[in-house]
Amino acid sequence: MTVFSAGGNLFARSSSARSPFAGWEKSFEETLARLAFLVLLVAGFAGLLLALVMVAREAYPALVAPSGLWGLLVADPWEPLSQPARLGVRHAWLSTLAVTSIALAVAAPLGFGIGIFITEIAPSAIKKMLQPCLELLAGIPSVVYGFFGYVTLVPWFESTFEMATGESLLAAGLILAVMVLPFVASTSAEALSAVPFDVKEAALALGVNRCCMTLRVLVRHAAPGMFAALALGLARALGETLAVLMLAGNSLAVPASLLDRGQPITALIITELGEAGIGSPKQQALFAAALVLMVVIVSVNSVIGWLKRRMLHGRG
Amino acid sequence: MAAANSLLRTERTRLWQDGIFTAVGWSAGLLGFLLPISIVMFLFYRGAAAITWDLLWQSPRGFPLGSSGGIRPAIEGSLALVVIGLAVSLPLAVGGAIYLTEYSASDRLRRTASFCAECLAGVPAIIYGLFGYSFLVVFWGMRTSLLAGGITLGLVMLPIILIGAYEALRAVDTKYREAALALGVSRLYAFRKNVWSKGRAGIMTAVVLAAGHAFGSAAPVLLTATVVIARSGLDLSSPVMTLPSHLYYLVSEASPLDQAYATALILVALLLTANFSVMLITSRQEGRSIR
Amino acid sequence: MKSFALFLMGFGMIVGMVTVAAAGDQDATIRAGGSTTLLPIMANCSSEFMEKYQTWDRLDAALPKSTTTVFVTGGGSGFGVKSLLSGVVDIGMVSRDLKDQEKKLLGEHQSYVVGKDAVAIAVNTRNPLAGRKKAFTAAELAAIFSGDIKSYQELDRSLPAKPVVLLTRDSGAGSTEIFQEKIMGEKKFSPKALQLPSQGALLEKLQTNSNAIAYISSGLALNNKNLKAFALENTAPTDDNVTKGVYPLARPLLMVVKGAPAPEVRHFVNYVLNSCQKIVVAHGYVPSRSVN
Repeated sequence: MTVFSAGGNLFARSSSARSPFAGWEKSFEETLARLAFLVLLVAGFAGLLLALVMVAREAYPALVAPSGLWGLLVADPWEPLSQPARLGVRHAWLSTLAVTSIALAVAAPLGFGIGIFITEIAPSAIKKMLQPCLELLAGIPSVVYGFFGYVTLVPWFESTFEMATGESLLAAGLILAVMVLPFVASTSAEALSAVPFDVKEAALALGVNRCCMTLRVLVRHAAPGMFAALALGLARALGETLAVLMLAGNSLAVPASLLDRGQPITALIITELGEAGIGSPKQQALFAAALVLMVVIVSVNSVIGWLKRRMLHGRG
Repeated sequence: MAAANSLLRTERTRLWQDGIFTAVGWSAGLLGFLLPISIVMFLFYRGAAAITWDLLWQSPRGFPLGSSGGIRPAIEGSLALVVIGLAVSLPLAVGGAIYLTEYSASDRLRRTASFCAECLAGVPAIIYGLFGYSFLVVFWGMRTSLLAGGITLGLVMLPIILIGAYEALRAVDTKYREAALALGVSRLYAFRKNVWSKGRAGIMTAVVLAAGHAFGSAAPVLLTATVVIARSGLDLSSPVMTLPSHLYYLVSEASPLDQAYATALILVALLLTANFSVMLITSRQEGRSIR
Repeated sequence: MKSFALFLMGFGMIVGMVTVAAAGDQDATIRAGGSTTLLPIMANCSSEFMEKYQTWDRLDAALPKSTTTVFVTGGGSGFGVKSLLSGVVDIGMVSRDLKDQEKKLLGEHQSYVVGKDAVAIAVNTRNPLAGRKKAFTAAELAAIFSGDIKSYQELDRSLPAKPVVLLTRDSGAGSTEIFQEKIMGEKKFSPKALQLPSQGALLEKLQTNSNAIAYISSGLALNNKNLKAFALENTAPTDDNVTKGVYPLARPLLMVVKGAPAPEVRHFVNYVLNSCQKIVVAHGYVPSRSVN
């Protein structure tokens, strides 16, 4: 600042030394600042996009290979050691699907229930206590959840279901449900509270009881937002790595039941990446699987964004 | 008479429905309250005994290595990674947010940028880890190091801070900006004097949220920065131990669980403290600015 | 503005402190990574090394006066070789012989034998096989581990019909590679096999599950009273048989260095070979040289 104001500024001398009112000083500093912030913005996005482009570039050979996307996702099993190597991740995305379905099936009713509780039933003192609790749940790291499941669910499964190992898709799915619960709960609470007041009042004035009003009127109005809550849970569950790595069991077989072991895509990637030689087909296949996962998650996130905008602007 | 009776019945059904509805609602709320508390309590119950001064201050020792001594390099490594990550992402994210709210004339730019940032925030951390591994660790020759891991974590944190800072600055009523600008000051001056003090609480919250997320993340650092055993003392070009990766290694080696409980507890406790102090600071800030 | 400047200064100071990096230090640190079998040995050995020689110049006056630093990590033998190839580690820890293709890719390299290990077939003492069987043939093992034999009764009519639970290490592990090569041959592992991330995890699972059967490092299995190890082709996995070379699944525990090693690496490798044999024995493996 002082450099600029000292830089030959006759106008400024008439007012205080650090006056912001001087004409050309303002435009020089202004342009510099604007340029600096723009550079920071562009650099930030450039870095992020560079990362994604690099991943895509590494994935490209696997996608244009003879087996291509179909082979990667559907046809080939994961057999990197056979001749020729077959690098398909169908067991992985099926595991991912299984685990996220379990997670959403458990987290959706619970999360919606909590959302309804927050907006409709809870007194404000309870609401104030519940918010930080949900934030706490959201803040616990993935590896701690995996550890928690490892020391509680896994031994319990082993003794209750007499399994060789309690690590299973079900264990991973249940822990994943706890992980996405806060997101589903707070987004659905947001959605429900965004419903205009007069809609609620109109329903109550007609004599509808609280229960029906909430379930039939509020939820219908908040449907885009509730759906966004589910989608947010889905996006989070798809991207989880450590918790499912520690709980899903690390098996290359296509899972046949919920108590089977599986290997979600994220777990496959992190397990196999170190042993994949640089530039090898195995590495390319792993990157391709990561790319597919990323595309799916980004699409889900765009849907969430669209739904949230609909929620904010109301429906007609 | 029948009509009155049927009205009564419906009235009773409605009361029942409401009752069940409220009961179910309360149980959901109770669950939402109990789940996090019980997880933390469980970790505390099993792990608190193992947390000694030695654990926090010493490096791993014993036979086999790690069975005694402490996990100090892991604590240092985690903190250092987050600091480097913030050094990378903080200027880019906050600077970018400032441009979007203060300087950008185009509404389309703002909407596209925030949409992109939200998409990027949703990208799982392991993807950035893949980039870090193939590009920074191998291609650029950084090898597994604090720098490679720090840059990767910076990428993970960048979209989160950007969105948080953008929302925080956007929430500042535009009248403050306009009043200053109407008096003829530069945008930077208007921002510094009028907007920054109101927006910084929100920015700080976003930063702590992102830093907490990075502190607890293991996937991106497992590929780029961590080793199983490291010495105390930091170096940008050397690998580190981190609390999350240490916990993961302990579990994958099926080591005795005391140290694992302690590591998990320390991790959660540090995150809680950070979040709590930010809540305190921001609520005090808000108190002051209202006055 | 003052508080912002203060914050910037503080933040800058923290970053500066963290950035205590000299580009030169890059040469003075050693990274070792790979086999989870070698990991405990190398961890203890490097810790001793760093205690004994605090700075490099105490080891060799020609070296700089920087602190000795050795980093050790796991990941499996496959990871060790790949990381060595890509330059991520200085010393690859490999618990099997190097494959021809790997040797070709590595080009000029040195392999140092730290110790020897036998991959033993082991079960829990409560396993149906524990009292009954003493030895396996390669063909039997191939049938079991490929999933062809699903229940213990299929193996021997007198055994109870308990399911066979297969425990294996993941595909990059040294023990997996040697087992695949010498026992399975063309057959693939059953996709139902549990893949465990480390020898330690294998041990833990074996100890808790009475229906499990696994191939595990003999150093872990032989002295464990909860486990029973079997002979292979009538040769027991003892240290003696490994040293004599008659046990089929014996494997070397190697440190591999690519190209011409830096002086620090050479010194460390020598230390490991000369002074760490007692650590090798203490962990249950066969030393490569006699322990003095």
